[in-house]
Amino acid sequence: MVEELVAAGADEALVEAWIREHGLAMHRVALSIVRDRALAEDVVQDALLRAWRARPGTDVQNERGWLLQIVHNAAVSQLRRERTTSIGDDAIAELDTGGGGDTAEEALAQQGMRDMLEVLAAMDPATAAILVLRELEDLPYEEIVEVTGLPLPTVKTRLHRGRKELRDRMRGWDR
Amino acid sequence: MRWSLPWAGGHPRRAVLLSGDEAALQHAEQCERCADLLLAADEDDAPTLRDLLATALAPTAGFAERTGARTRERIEAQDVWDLVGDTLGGIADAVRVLADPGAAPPVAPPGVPRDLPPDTPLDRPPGADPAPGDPTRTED
Repeated sequence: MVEELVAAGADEALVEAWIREHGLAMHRVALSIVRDRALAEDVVQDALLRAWRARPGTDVQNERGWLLQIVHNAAVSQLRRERTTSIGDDAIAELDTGGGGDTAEEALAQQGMRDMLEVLAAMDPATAAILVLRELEDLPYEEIVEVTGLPLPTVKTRLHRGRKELRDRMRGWDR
Repeated sequence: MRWSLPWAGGHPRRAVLLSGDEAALQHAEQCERCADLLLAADEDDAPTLRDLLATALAPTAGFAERTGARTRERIEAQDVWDLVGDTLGGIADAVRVLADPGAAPPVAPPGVPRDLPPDTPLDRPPGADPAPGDPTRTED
């Protein structure tokens, strides 16, 4: 019965395609908001399940924007549930257990990633998500407005704030 | 020395805006003109930021395979749960009929989802699809 309901692999293929084409972007958005890799994977699964449930009868014009909006909202909901936990610590601790790297260059790269995660963890989650949507996913501002539900000037100002925070931290690395 | 007000015409001056003044930034969050000024002043170091962000936010190895497998499991579990829900609902209806035949709601025939709107015709043969445009129509 279950096998019949899963429609002879049709849904499986769809989910696989979503993961292949949009999985990385969905993970980045989730991680920028929840700041924990294991939690980010759960959020992506939740989002895929929500998308799969909503798919019948949904007229999706922009699949990427639609999936990113779902994962953004799922991550924000998750963050609200996890407010009491110290976000970011897990991801940073994960890097710590990886050691400092074999060479001075690797150690420096490791430190850079650690610093980057720290600055993201300290950042307002909406700002971190906007940074990822713009800098990594190249979403137009109008699509970021749709995904985050924030007004256009807020999106642009937060992007500026986020860039400045990262840039200030990067300048600190040079010293 | 020339001196000017930090704000003029309801907007912060450019220098004030770019200094990181919190009141000016909060104004920019509501003002497209000032928000555009901020973005125009951003340094062109996006590639460096992009590389750093991509590295810091990279998933752990096996992310795609793990996510695919777990999502499929959850979809299958969801289907089983829907099936169990329908079965339990059918049993509950049957119990209600036995307890109080006069007051019992009509039991949906097999093949008709239990959460259809009340005006949905119940005489549709199981498996028959509604006409295109009907919101209850199933997708291929």
